Amino acid sequence: MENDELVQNMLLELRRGVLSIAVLSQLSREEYGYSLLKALSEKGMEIDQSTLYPLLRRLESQGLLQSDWRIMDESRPRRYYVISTQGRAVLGKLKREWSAMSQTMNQMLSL
Amino acid sequence: MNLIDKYIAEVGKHLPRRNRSDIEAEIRSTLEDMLDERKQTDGPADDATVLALLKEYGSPRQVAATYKTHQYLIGPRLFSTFEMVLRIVFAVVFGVSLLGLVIALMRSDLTGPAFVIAMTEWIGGLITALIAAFGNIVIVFAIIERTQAVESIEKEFSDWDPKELQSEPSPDQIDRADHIASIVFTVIALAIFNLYPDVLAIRYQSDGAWVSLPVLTDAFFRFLPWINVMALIQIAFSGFMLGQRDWIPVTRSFGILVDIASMVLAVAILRTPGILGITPQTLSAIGNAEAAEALSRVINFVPLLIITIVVVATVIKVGKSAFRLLSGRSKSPYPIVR
Repeated sequence: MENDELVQNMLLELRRGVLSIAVLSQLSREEYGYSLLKALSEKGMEIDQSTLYPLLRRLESQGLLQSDWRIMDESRPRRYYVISTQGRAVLGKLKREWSAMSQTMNQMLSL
Repeated sequence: MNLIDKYIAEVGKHLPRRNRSDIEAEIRSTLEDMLDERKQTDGPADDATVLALLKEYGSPRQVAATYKTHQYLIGPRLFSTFEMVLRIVFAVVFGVSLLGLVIALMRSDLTGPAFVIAMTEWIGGLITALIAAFGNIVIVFAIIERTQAVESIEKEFSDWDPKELQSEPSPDQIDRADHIASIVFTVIALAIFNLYPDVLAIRYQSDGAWVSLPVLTDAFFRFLPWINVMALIQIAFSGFMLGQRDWIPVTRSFGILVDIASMVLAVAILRTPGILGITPQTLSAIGNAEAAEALSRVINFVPLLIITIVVVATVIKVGKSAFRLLSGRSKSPYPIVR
């Protein structure tokens, strides 16, 4: 169906903006990439690893996340990410915007 | 080297050098985590399990591409400017190339093979020039995209002032392009008639020697003083109008007089018998007499055709100008409520 592709593209655009907020919100405690992927999936936010890892790097380069390589309970080294002070401030603003926006949209869509 | 090592080495080939080892380590860590999870649910992993995992993770080139910040040469912020510059440059390249072709054809002998060669060379040269222009513009924009220059362009867009918007063009507003074109073409015509009349000739080979058959005769060139006077008036008038903003009744009236005078002169010249040097007699010297007769009949029809075109074009131009002079009506399609 022609509309299916259209809807898929629009959903992709919609998710692109939301994913940054979702990731920031789940990194108040340290997570490595794969555990974050699982955590997001368990909460209903499915995300592909090819989207998540570049996003983590972008958020880190913007100063919103911090990361370091560590060997925790197992012998394999993993890169752990956590939200930075700047990230917390940005997330606070984004939460307020999201709340206002979702309220407006719910009214507009009569949900 | 196991399959995961091979996969990571392949991804690494397409990664930016700066973060390569770091990204490779992270992909390895993720793949091993995913493999561990599969081992817990499906039992010990064999090559088939690893192959399925790698297939799911994506092709190495595709995975590497997601880590690149710039996936395009020219981004959406610059693309409309890029298109605009491309259009302008292509138009200029085409115009210059066309001028080159006209000069080349005027200098050539216009015989069959020479004409075909000139045209082929022109098309080849034009394509090469367009490709080179395209390449250079892409390089310049790709550099702008990757430097801070893009921010200064964006600032220019954000600093625009709505007060600079132009109002609806007035019907009395002077179109400068018209006057510039008029001056350029009149100067070219003056130069050809006065300095290079030989250009207006048909050249052919007869008994191994080149013979030149002038298109216009002395009967035409007797009008040259009049043509020169009219051309100088036209140039002076267009030059004066370039300095003006709007048409006013005096300039409109003078413009109408110049147009009518030019039309009268053109009709007088074209109705004069024997202005064309191409007659059955001169053409028969080239070869086939019957063909020459037919060709000369066609060529002698040309003045009548030109008279018709000149008269119709002048009547339309003068009519429009006179209408504006007399009515001064607005071009707006909507009624103006006062």
